[in-house]
Amino acid sequence: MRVFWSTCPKCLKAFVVEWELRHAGVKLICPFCGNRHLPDESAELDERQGG
Amino acid sequence: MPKSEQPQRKAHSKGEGKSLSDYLDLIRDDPAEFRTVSRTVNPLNFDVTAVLKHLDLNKEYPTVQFDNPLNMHGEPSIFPIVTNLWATRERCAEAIGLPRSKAGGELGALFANHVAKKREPVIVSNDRAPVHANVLQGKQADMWMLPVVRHYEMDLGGVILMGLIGHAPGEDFYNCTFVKTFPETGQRGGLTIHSAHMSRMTRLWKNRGERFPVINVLGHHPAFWLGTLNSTPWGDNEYATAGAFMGEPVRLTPSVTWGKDFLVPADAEIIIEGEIGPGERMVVDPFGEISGQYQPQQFAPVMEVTAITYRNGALYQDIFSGHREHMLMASVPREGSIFNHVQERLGNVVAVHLPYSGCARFTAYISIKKTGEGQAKQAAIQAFAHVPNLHVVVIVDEDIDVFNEEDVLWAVNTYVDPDRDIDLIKNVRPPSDPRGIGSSRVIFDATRPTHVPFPTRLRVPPDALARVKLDEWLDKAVKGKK
Repeated sequence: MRVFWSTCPKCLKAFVVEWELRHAGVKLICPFCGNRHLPDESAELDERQGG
Repeated sequence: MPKSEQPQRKAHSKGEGKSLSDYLDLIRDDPAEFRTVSRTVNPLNFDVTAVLKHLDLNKEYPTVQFDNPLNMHGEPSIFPIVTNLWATRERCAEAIGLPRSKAGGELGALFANHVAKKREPVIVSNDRAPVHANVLQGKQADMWMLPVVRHYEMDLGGVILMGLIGHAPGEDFYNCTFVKTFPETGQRGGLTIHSAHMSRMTRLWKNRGERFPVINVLGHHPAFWLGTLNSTPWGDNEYATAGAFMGEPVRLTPSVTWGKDFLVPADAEIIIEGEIGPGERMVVDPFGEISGQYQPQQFAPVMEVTAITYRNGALYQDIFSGHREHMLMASVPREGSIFNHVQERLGNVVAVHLPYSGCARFTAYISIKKTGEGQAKQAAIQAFAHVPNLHVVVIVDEDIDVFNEEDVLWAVNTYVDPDRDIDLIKNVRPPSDPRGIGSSRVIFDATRPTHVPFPTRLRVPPDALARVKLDEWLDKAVKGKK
């Protein structure tokens, strides 16, 4: 299972998300402030694949 | 409704089944086993898990009852919270009627024996069901009236833990599995379902385009849960398995929403009745899981609440996820199930332990009576076949105590030749874990080699140990004496 980290554009805290949500067109929910944002609106995205 | 307005619980009356409160009565006078917090706590502000974490750091594992929690509206809840119930093996033993002295290696095997003693449930009318003393429907059936706990800082919010019960379309057997319910509103919440049987049921209802009736049971006698946690084949009625562990048939009563088409446990504390819409999904998680890490944010099925029922003086049960009770509540039944499975096939198993260091899920230490080379790997392969989410199996000889991790690691360090005794099984299943450990398995054959001459372990002769009584031979300790 691949994951990525999204940094909330509102509170700038990062949280971990399943890759299925990366391009699903749904808004993520920041667990720290409740802000809803699309992955591409993240202040920062960590989607490294490694390897 | 303030707690003072909740009808008080009556003493256990004749004809009623065992309840959570009946078990708490056994331990509530022992401060090592049961503690209370009477001050007001806000479970959404980590007050509950902060108390539990302090106790855990002190290596204290009492069940804790929070008498005055706030609910999700920020108002005083009518339900006290009970948590950390399964945090010791001794309480797991006691809950199913075994002596505390049977909490070691034999506990798993005794659990496994219980599975075969199924007791068919009995059906009682609603008026004989304590859980139907209070029935809420429509807007009154509000999950936010519950003192839902937010456990960890990255959790999406408060999460209702405990068991979800459902049945497949057209079938009359019930399956129970622990799920997480994220109450987005009072009437709607996302459910994360991990177990194979409940996932299959969800798919079957979805494929028919029908709503999947389910109940969330928030509190019952601990033996009820320990019974439903055993891995049983598809088609087994887990109400009957729970009866084996309760030592009496589980009493069931028709539900409020579906009547006799869905029977619910009559002696539960609180029940949420709801339906999962076919194909509907919402965003849930992160949540602090058994691995000690966060489950990533993901899609999950959606449950819409149809009714909430609760007994007078009901308790709201929660689990300290990612800690001892979360680990033990499934590892103890699993140890017994692995023991039985391997023993039936090879006949040489001595003990099985799923250690805390492996989150009581991913690693098994198994001791065997080895009579020849190859037997260790055969045992490990059987264990993997029986429990798909095991990642590491370490096989040791019968003189190694699998409940003593230092002993096990001594065997690994002295008997294992990495070139010969470590086997990697690749591509067992699609990777399911972000750490990348989901698809491969490792076997450590940490038994003493028998195919070549090999040193033996140090031993002070047993007759010398028997002859020398420590309290007679050691001089009395005198403080400050040089």
